[in-house]
Amino acid sequence: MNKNLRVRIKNVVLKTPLLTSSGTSGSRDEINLMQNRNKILASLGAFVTKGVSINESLGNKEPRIVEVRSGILNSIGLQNKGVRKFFEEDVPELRKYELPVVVNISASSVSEFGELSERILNYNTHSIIKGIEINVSCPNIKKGGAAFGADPLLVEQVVKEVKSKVHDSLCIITKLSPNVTDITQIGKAAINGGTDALSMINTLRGMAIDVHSGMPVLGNQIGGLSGPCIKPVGVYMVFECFRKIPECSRKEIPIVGIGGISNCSDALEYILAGATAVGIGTQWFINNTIFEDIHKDLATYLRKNNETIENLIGKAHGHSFKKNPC
Amino acid sequence: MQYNLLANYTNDKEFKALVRKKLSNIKSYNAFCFAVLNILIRKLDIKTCYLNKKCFDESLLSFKTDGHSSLTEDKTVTENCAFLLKNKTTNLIFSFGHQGAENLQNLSNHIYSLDNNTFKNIHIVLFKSSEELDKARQVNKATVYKRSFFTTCYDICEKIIETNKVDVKKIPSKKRNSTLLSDKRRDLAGLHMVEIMDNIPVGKEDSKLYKLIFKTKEPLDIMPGQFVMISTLKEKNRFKSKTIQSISKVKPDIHNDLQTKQISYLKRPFGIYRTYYENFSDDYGSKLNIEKELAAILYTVKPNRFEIVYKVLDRGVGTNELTRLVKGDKVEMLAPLGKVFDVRKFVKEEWDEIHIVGGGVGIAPLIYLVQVLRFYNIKVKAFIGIEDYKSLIYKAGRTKSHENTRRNARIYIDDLKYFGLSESSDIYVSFLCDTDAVQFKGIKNVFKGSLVTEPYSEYLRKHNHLKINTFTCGPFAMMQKVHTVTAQFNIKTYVLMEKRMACGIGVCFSCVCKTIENGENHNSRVCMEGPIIESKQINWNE
Ligand SMILES: Cc1cc2nc3c(=O)[nH]c(=O)nc-3n(C[C@H](O)[C@H](O)[C@H](O)COP(=O)(O)OP(=O)(O)OC[C@H]3O[C@@H](n4cnc5c(N)ncnc54)[C@H](O)[C@@H]3O)c2cc1C
Ligand SMILES: Cc1cc2nc3c(=O)[nH]c(=O)nc-3n(C[C@H](O)[C@H](O)[C@H](O)COP(=O)(O)O)c2cc1C
Ligand code: FES
Repeated sequence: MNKNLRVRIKNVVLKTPLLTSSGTSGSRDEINLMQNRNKILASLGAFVTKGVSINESLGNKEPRIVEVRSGILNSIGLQNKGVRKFFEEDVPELRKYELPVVVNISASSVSEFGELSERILNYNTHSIIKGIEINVSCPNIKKGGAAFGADPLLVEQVVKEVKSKVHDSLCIITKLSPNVTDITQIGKAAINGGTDALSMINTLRGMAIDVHSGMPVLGNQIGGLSGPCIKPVGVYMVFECFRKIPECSRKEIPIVGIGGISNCSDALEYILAGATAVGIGTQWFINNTIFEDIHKDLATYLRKNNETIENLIGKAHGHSFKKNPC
Repeated sequence: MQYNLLANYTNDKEFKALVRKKLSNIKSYNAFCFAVLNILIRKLDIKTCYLNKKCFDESLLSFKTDGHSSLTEDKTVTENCAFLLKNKTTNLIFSFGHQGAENLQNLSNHIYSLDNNTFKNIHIVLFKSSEELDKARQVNKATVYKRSFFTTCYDICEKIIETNKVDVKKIPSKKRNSTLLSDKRRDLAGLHMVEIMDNIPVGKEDSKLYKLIFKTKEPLDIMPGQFVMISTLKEKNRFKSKTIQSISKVKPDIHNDLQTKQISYLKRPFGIYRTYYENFSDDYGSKLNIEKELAAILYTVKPNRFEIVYKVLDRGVGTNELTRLVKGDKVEMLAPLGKVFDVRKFVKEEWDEIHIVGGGVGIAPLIYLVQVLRFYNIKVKAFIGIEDYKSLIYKAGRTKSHENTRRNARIYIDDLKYFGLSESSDIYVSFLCDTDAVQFKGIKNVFKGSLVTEPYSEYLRKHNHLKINTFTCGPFAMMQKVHTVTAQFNIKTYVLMEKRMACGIGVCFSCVCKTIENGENHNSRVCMEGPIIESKQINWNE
């Protein structure tokens, strides 16, 4: 194992800083149907599942996906089979990955977040699940469907509720939405609530209209933008959080940088901005060897420059340096 | 049907003794295999020719006969093969995978050169394990074992257990899964660099239909119903990590448009139209005539040449990009994808007829299903709906006899003929637009100005005593109609679904289709739970 690549999020050691990002790598053993499954699993530090909710959800109307310039808009609508079936059917399969697993959770009220976390804790008899990623971008039914993620008070409440159920037995990551005026406010609120780490960004709200029919393309009309086109936004938000949130600057609360990563230099950008680990999503659909490619290139970069990931985190906030590019 | 079987085979007593020694050495292993083969042979009413004991000492190439007197030990393999060719019946020639590639190469080369694509002589190489078999199925082996088929001891045993209830329990047999549709892909999904061999417009001048022919470096098993996802932009390592963004290496003509024009980002899903095997003629399907029981234990080499037929959408980004690909271009492809339809299991049932009902470009993936079904000698009837006759015509690739000119060919129809369907009795064509009747030469069952479902329901009404299974692909409304019609006659129907996809590997949930399972509504991923889905599971009303 390459020590230069190793990072940790709270008490979970990641052998590489590469994570799957929620909703783009399945929740079962889909990776095992890939020829390069061993390389993928060897390149990952942890596996983040698709969003899980208390009850089964059928998701949104079709079409759920539309391609845009250098990215996609999706409105999957959090289709999943519910937490009970997830543990019955999928978790046993996830064991085969032999990776720390983080469950991405979504709920429609603060108390539901709590109930969901409690269930996960109870079902997790084999301790395969190492962490919970709270998706605060989902709509809050009580507040007319507005996302939790835009209201610092709500985010703090949600995180507190989850924390009160799982205590220190699971690592809590709060996944922030970019659809806010000041992401650092939300980040701070999550930290006040007791989160162990932040991840950002979720998809940016967007839509596409078919000019020939005059109608929105997505069945749900609006969707979330992801892919290479959102990377500058993601890098900026990680940079801002690292700079303005003292716990992040002091590297007490690690950040998982997500959004549009398609190669090694993209991943490095996030790390230099302040991310401890990175999540790779949409681009995996395009390049099915992306995990092993980035893993290899990162390792080469670190070796050539005699560096470690730990040491590179947040370097963009200091002085400029001269390094061999990757 | 009558076969002659040639094998290195001693008399019954001897092999029985040898079998007792089990698999301890090559000789007894050979004998064991033939003990097993013998059972199968009897069941299939195959006449056997025995070979000399010497064959167990690797002298594979000398024959001695029992029953057919003209084969003699001291004759060369060429002479013996020549003798075989005089026989009217089909000859099965079994040999062993472990007997040295050179011997096998000689034998299969001789058979191949004398046979002249009549498929009267069928060479079958037996392997000890499926790993050995897999190695042999790689395409580079196609030159060693020329146009041979492969099987293993396990496959034969399984067949016997199944058909004869013979006590071969001690023989370890692999577990097969019980459902027709499964995730047991022979090859896992992988990223392949494909090389374009041809990209031919089909139909009238303003053609919207193209046939894309390409090859892969590594051969790969794609089962009927499975699909591939192709990156429609030509580019070397377009998405590899060192390029900063995919856009940087795009062809210049597109690059100029970059600010205003959309280029494709996701790969595009397509069904396979047909595959080609090294050394097999295009029309092998109409000549190869192996009994179902036997075909069910045979494996071909893996294909490395594939064709897809695609329709260019009016505002389709990806399909328009595809039309720009030319011979020699390389693009990335993720394949094989989707559930595996277990054809071997499927053909075990005694179907009278298998029907394919296709509309427009939806016919394309059904043709590949026919290709595979015909290998098992299954009776297939094709019901296809197209716009008009002209839209079928294209200039096919150069053949050996026409070095410089392209010959006229008909999409769908010609390949169905190649697979052994009769133009006059097995193919039913509905033309949506009226066209010149003179052009239908050959096709007897022509329906003008009609949708494919009309003659199809008429056919079912007339033949409702037959045991039929239907496969359909095409526009949603057409498939829905086919479902209604076949449900009326209680005919099991599978549809090949089509939905917008992003990943193709079941992780994004964008390709869902509404289904009903045990009375509950579901959204099933077409790329994972399909694309072949039983029609009664689909929620057609949504
Ligand atoms: C399993 C499967 C097998 C298929 N087999 C064939 C085939 O053999 N021949 C053939 O011509 N077509 C086939 N299709 C349809 C083909 O994928 C689409 O026509 C094609 O993706 C359109 O791409 P575009 O970029 O030109 O269209 P655009 O409209 O520019 O595409 C935008 C996005 O929508 C998707 N999309 C648009 N139309 C369709 C559609 N009808 N079905 C699915 N996705 C669509 C595209 O993939 C792309 O992601 C198949 C589809 C599936 C799902
Ligand atoms: C199809 C799809 C499904 C997603 N589902 C989820 C989800 O269930 N929960 C979540 O927190 N984020 C979800 N996301 C957001 C991604 O995890 C990620 O934050 C976003 O796509 C940006 O990263 P990328 O550009 O690398 O894809 C989804 C994204 C896509 C494209
Ligand atoms: S295309 Fe992603 S789940 Fe089917």
